Amino acid sequence: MKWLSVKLNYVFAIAIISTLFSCGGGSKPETEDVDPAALESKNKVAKVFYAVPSPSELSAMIKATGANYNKNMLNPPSNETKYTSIIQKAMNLGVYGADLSYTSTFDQTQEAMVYMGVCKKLADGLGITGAINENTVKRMEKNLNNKDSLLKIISDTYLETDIYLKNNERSGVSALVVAGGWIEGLYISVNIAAQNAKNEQIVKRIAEQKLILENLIGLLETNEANDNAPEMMTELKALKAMYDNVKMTEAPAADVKTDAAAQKTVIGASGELNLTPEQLAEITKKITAIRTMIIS
Amino acid sequence: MKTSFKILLGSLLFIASSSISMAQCNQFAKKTCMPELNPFTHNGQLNIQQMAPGEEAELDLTFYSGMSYRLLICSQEMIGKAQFQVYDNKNKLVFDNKDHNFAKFWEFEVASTQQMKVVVIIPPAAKAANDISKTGCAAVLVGFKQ
Repeated sequence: MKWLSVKLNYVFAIAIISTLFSCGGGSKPETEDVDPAALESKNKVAKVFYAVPSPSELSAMIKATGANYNKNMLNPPSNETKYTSIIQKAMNLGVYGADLSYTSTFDQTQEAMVYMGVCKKLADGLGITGAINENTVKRMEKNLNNKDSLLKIISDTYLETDIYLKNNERSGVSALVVAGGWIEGLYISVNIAAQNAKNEQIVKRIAEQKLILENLIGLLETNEANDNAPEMMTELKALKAMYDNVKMTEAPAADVKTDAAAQKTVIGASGELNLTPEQLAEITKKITAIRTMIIS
Repeated sequence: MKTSFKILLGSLLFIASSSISMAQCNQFAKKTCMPELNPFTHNGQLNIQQMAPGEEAELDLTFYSGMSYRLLICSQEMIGKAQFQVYDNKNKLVFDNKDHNFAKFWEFEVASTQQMKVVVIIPPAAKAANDISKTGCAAVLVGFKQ
């Protein structure tokens, strides 16, 4: 017992010393120029998160532009058997999740059931057994005629997937699912724009993806996608370089009106992003290539 | 030696009991916070962090024109009510819940789609007698509707 006590104390001593060193960040050269204010600010920020809109949100906006449903744009369910690696399964779970949102938003309930089935297979393949189960499928079947309920079920599924992966320290996989969903959403959008050049609303939504792409790259980099999916990261950064040329019109500071009783703040008009036809063509080509890389 | 071992073991047990796993934080967000997003649809991502008094977390997100958003900042009782500030794309403060009795959630609409930054601040607390800061879960959830 005495030996155990001494050994435990020895372990504690090492742990405490290690902790002290790790908290202090180790010894630093005395000549290093450090801004104390910047250092304090950095230490105070526990974490920076990047939110990417869900495919349901983008699907709702696509529908609001007046676009028609087109099944041929989606990733065929039969492709599911091609995806064998974790990276392929994760990214295509995102792709099929976006297709599921798209079919549900456009009231294509039978198609939605098929895509939910495909998502279940991929989720099972990733070991995410709790996110989509028999109960999820039954809930969907019961609510086929209630779009709001269907979208709620899909939203719950995204959440369960995210929780499962994060609980199991697989945030990197979760980020790849999000990336797959965003890529599919943009792919659907550029195809709608190609089919109807007069749909200015969809072009506006495509331009706005510049902002989302910045958040998506931040999310992926935070979750080590540079190591896990380097080809996709290279392609997304190339897409970002194209979006960097999409400029925002100068505008004065927006009016801000807060209604305390309604607990609501409305922020007035500010600058708009202008996407030229040439830029749209370039982005269409790039996102099509990225999406092909993922689903092939 | 025996006494020091007991002290160390006691400290270890105290730290273990006061620490919260991320799995517990995720469950806290799901069970306690999520219902408050209703009737908005959750965007499917869980942004949650273990935070201590005096710490800040940031969330970069995009608000689309034509949509309504509910931002919900939910923190465990042990770290107190969280303050949250929203900055627009020109880094101008457009909302601070400190001015509204530390409201847990607020709704937003934008006339032009823009990138926003949400800063969550856990107010500094008086140091505890044992000098060990408490940590707790803080979640930022985003809901949307048309």
